[in-house]
Amino acid sequence: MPEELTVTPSAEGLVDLLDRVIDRGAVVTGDVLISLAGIDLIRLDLRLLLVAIENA
Amino acid sequence: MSGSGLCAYAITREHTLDLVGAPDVRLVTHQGLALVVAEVDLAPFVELEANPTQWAKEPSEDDPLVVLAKRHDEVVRAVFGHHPVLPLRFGTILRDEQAATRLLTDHHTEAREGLDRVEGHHEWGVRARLPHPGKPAEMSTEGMSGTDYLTMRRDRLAAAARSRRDSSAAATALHEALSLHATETVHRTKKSAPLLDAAYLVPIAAEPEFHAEAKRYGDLAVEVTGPWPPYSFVRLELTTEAVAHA
Repeated sequence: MPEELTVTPSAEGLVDLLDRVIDRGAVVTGDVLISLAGIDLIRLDLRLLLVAIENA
Repeated sequence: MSGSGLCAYAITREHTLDLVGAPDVRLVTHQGLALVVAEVDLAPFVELEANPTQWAKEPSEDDPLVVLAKRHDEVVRAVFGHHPVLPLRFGTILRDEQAATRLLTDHHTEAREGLDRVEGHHEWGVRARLPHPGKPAEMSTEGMSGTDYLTMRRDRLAAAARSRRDSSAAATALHEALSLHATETVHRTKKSAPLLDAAYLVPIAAEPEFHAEAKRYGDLAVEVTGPWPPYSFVRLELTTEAVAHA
């Protein structure tokens, strides 16, 4: 797998990124081999984490 | 399940893709639209599905999910740097190129409209919190009468409530002001812990005003993140049906 892409490094926190990448975006269903849109546990964890960070 | 599949990252317009350092990323095109894909090993995804990450604390950089999610974001961002994109949710793996083409065929109109909507925009995240948790000054209660103590407590609680109300009103004003510079907005959490946690789809031309506005609210601790690909503004649900047996 390539090590680098033409990407501007961003300063956002990892949680902000995970929340967007995992919990937003178009969902594809039907003829898919894998759709991790169903990883609700991870999403729930993220929510809790966000709240924990907010209240820190 | 093992083997490989076609990981789909985003829908964009058909163009000549030139991602330095990512030779495996390519476009499957159909009538002016394109799906950004790469052949990937299924194993890490299957593993992730079987053993979902559970975080007791902050996620670490070497967590398998984090590694894959960052890769997803990098690919989306690389395209987003030059063309409008509709990001797909992380972990969408199609069977083959035929499925990719079918996805574009079946949802051609929605995808076109979606791309038109986000073109020339960036997503910005804004969080506003109470400025300082405001630790009350230590005060000796020694020698204080019961009534005086209760009065002091009541005054302090009232002051805290007042400051929360003021901040909450300021957050509402901030949101309204920012919305004027955005094409669309979305509240990201319904929790009241941060006073405001929203995403804004901002036309690139309006970004200076948007940022100036965010700085105008000195009474709040305002945190702005971005630019993001329009993750929070893609609400498409795309269904692809297998032509042959699945």
